[in-house]
Amino acid sequence: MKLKIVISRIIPYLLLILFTLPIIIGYVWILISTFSTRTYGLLPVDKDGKFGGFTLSNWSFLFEPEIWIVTFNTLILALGLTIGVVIVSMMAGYALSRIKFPGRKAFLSLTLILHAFPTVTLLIAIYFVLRWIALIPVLGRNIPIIGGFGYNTLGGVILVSIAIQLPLGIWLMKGFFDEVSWDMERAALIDGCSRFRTWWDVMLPQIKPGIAALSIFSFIQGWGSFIIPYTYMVNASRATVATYLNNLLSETAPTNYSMLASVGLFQLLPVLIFYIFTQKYLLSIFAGGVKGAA
Amino acid sequence: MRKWILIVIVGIVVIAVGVYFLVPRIKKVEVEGPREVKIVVRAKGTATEHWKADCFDEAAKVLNAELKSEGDNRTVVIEKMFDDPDWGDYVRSFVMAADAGIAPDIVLGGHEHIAVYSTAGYIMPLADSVSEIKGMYPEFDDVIEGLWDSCQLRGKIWAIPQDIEARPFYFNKPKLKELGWSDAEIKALPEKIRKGEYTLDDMIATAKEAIARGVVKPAHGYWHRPKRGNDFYQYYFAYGGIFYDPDQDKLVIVKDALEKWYAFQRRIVDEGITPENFIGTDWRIWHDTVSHGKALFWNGGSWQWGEWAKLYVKDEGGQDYLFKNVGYALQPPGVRGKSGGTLSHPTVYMVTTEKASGRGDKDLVVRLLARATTKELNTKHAVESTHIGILKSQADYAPYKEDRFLSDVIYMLDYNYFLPNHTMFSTWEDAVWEGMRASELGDRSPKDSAARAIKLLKSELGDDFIVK
Repeated sequence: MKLKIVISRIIPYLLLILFTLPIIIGYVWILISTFSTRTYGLLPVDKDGKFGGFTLSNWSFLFEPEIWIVTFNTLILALGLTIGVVIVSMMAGYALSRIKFPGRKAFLSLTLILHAFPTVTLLIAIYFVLRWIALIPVLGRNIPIIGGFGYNTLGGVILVSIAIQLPLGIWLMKGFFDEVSWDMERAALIDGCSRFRTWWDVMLPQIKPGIAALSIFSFIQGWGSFIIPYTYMVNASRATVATYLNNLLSETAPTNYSMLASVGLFQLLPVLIFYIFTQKYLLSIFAGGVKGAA
Repeated sequence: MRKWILIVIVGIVVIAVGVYFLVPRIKKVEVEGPREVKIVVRAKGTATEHWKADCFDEAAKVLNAELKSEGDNRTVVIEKMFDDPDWGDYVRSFVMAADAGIAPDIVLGGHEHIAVYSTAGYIMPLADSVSEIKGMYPEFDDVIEGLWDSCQLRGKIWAIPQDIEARPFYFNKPKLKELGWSDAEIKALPEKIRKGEYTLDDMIATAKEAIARGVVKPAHGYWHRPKRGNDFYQYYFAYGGIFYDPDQDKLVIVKDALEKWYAFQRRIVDEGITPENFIGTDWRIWHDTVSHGKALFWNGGSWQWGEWAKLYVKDEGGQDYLFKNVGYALQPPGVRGKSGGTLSHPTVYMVTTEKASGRGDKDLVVRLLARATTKELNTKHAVESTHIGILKSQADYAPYKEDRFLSDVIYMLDYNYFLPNHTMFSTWEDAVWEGMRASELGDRSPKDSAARAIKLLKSELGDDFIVK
């Protein structure tokens, strides 16, 4: 009996270890590679193939201004995406959850369809929109930090990323608002609150875990974003960390995988740290529900 | 609350409309005195090809000194974009930027891009004739005469040559020796190919023998380029194919040559000298295999010699190792008696229009190009990346002459040919590539593939296309 209990407890762990091992090995390889001239499997080796060859030279990119430009851009993109998605999703999610208006169902269906569209199919159409936005004075190309909202600006990339991320955000927020009791809202309205105040003071505090989860999810999406900055920034290698990383890969020349691993780890670290501290909230996306549901 | 929302909305609309109509009418006041002219350069290449962009730093120094001495109040400032995306992404990025009016001032491209870019209005003509461009600056007069052909379209000169290359047929000398060839026979192979005495059929026979006798591993007798690219057209040319009829300004398929080319692609697989499903093999595997002497014959580019020396066999001795182990010749003909050949694909610098780049001062851009087209700068690029020089003066320029590989392969330019500058050439390429891929993979017979390619081209190109 005791043996059965032990086995039933051990087997899931063994299976989990077995399935996560390749991922763990991948991370270990990245870590080792960043401090080695080359690796043989997980073993750091020198140019003669013997154990050794430790170096810090793979981190030399940290002393180039380019990496800090792309890191700053990536941070702005991730923050802009997060703020944009959360604000619009909070408002749209509430309206779709609580207010009856013509076209509500159609809007919901269309949002879902947009979510199903692969980004790559929209690239050319979005390009024409961004090119048009770029012609608008000030808004198009003359905003500090983000450049503007037109083609070849960080703001344009943020705008497109928000649009592509919004369907998921709106549906998530709608799900969270659906879970909040009508009684609470009615009480607020009867007490004389306006719709806006009800939303702000009564409803939003109830879905804080959802807001936190969507913020984290959006930030991580923005941080790793590749295809949109790669397409809509002319100097793609100086756009974001992901495009900078891509620039280290050449079609024909051999790649310095140790350097690649270092930049990859540099990109990964903030996300890993962020994830460790916020995974509780992130999981509430999948669990759904209101405060405490996660 | 509603009142405030209304006021805010009306305010935003009024400001937006005002800005939209008023801002474009505010003219910038031209400032007298010193003025910086930003010239943006976009180029692509591997690490060994960095001079494609870096030459402009040196050229700008010369130009700025000239401007200063002339009392011109302008100073040139260079902004470079140099990376190595695949050609598709590179062209897409340029086209999108040009269409949005924010293209670089100078863009590097293949000469075949001239047709599309000029038709779209992205690049400007530099001169109305070869004599005119040669008269503009002494540097342009120094460009090898034949290269201007690749820069011409509709009677105008649209670009300045940047580099040129050959696509040699490489062979592994120790393996041929192991097969029983004498040193003299190995040394004579390039000359036999030049004279048309050693053909693609002979190459297949030699490779088969090497595999049968265990000199190389099966399917390591002949490795062509692993991915789509211009190199493949050399087989079409080897069997008598041509791309273009200049008299009629039409793209051409020579049916017999196309069928023979496709048959060759399948045959090298059937004979076991090239691996099955070879198309799509990673470039790094390809480079590693051929540079380390694991294949008997292969076809590559002259620029790859430099890549192998610096990036693949550096530890084994670089160029010394390559000279000891690797030989090079023209691409063998498919027909006995026909000279070997090589496809050259000059890369060129093009100057964008004011509309495409959003900037003026194009006189300075062209002058900067002239200052970058010098034997000193071009030789730095040629030697480091093993590309062939584009200037007549390089032939007597010591740093160029002293480069053994470049001196050895320069004769190949006497046997080279170019792709056509035709707006619809990419359609031609798409159709013949699909047929070639299907033939080599065995999806369709070579004859069937050729018939399909011709049918497709007839329907897509219509009057722009003829079959011979």
